[in-house]
Amino acid sequence: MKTGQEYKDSLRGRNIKVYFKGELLDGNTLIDNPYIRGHVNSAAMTYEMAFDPKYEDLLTATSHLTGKKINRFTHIHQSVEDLLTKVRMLRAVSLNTGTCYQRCVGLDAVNAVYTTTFEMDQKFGTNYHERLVDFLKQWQENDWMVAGAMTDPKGDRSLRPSQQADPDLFVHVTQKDDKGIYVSGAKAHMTGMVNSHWMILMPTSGYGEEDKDYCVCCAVPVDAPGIIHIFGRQTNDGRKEEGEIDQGNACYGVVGGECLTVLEDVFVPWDKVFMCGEFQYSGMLVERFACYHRQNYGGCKGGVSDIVIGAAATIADMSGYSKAAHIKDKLNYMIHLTETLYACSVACSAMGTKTASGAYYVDPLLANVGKHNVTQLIYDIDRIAQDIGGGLLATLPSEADLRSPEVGKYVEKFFKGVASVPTEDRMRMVRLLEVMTGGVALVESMHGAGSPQAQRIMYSKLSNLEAKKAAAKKIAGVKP
Amino acid sequence: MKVGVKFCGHCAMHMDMTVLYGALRLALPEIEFAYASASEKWDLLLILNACPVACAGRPVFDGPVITVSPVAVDGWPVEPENLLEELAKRLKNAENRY
Repeated sequence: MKTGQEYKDSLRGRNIKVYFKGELLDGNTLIDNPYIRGHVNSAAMTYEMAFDPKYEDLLTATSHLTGKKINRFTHIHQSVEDLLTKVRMLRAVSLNTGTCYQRCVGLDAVNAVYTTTFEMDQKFGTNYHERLVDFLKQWQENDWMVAGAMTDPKGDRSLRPSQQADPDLFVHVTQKDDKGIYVSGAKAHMTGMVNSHWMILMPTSGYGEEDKDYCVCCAVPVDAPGIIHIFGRQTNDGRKEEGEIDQGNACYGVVGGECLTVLEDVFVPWDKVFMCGEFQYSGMLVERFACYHRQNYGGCKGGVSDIVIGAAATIADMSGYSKAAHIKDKLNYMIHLTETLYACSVACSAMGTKTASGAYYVDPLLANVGKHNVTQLIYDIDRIAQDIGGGLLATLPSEADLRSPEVGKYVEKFFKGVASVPTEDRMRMVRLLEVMTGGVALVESMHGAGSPQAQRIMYSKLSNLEAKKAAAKKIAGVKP
Repeated sequence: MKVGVKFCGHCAMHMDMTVLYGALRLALPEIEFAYASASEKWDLLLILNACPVACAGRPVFDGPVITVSPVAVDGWPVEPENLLEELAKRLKNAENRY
């Protein structure tokens, strides 16, 4: 296993091409860039905690392939207990970062590809699963961070991939030879990509035969020739070039540091190809990845919401209104909502089942319900937190004003709450609450792991409405 | 006596068990404590859980085990402020038997 520092050091040697605000960043110093540094620190936490006896019960596992102790972010779930431990792990890491640590995406990708390739090989006599296992052994041994790359730009949403005016709007195979394949296109909203070692490309949806060139799954180094990344902007990200307080979460940032990853005729050797044209299994792969990923949200957002609740309660303490009945009531409601999110993640894990490959898979209906709740309840949690936090969240002066020889004394004097609490501490807490409850943090809860409609679509498919109607008819005495 | 210590992972920290562990080591300097790893042997296993769910994984071990949560020791209710005293008593008893 890698330590946090070893992980950071391992990122410096890459030949990665990342553009930000129109400029190509130096790959060797990329992780020190103020816009990227926090996301690296957050991902590094998944490495650091694996070496801490306090957390290692959650952050480590035993590889079913080698018997070695590995970081759980590289593990194939071998039991319901593994699924549950994953959720606990996510909540524990969130409690230490207050934001996304990005590494679950690759974990979910490899579990989805592992279970799907096993079944696909039985059907077609291919050897994709064996290739994946070989890659996974290296992944576990090197403790890589691997980005899961699913979402295509999609162009005109009313058209299938092969109907698009520009074929590159979905990642597709452009040519094949005896050594491998070449892929072109792009992947959008790529969490943790610029601070990963590899990516796993997956199709963005289930397709028919006419779109089989778009049914491609493979592993590619993030710095392979033909790949560039365009790093996204965030709300108020200019604050990262200033002091610490105004950033709110200066050490770990907000959400996952997403980018657009562009692929132009990128070569992938056959031993890293795990699907190439088997359109019959593209839907299965996408659904499994989506459900594994939706399982996470009550864990990670549960932990993030713990921090939001803690920040709101602390601001109430610092401002002298924590004993007000409505504040206690609101905090209790936030706890209720947070544990509701967590309960769904626990439930879909507890109801997990063994797949043909031996790996365990979550209850897909409950996983979708959990993520769907996140698209709504996080907004409620954050709305109440802003209610408790007060207008200060929107009007607080800058850290530079606090430090100013001219006006600092006024900031110090007029933004003080309870006399015993330093104004700077109150400002820090307000800024933390501000960045955690607005802008990109909220949008991530809405669209990360799929937009709400993606979950609604699953309900009719998974909940068996006809059985409910039959049960109602029986009770009402209506003959079938 | 060597005591192997195992933490739960602290995903729901009602009590920071590393603090209790630190206090225990100070209170019982005559007892050797070590993190319970597969490569080492110990005479007693102490499992410290940060919340009442007490979900910590249990290593393979045939000897005596004490399972602690913020509200209980081996399932018996103990007030959080009395945990240190209760654990110290149990570990001393175990050492006397050892």
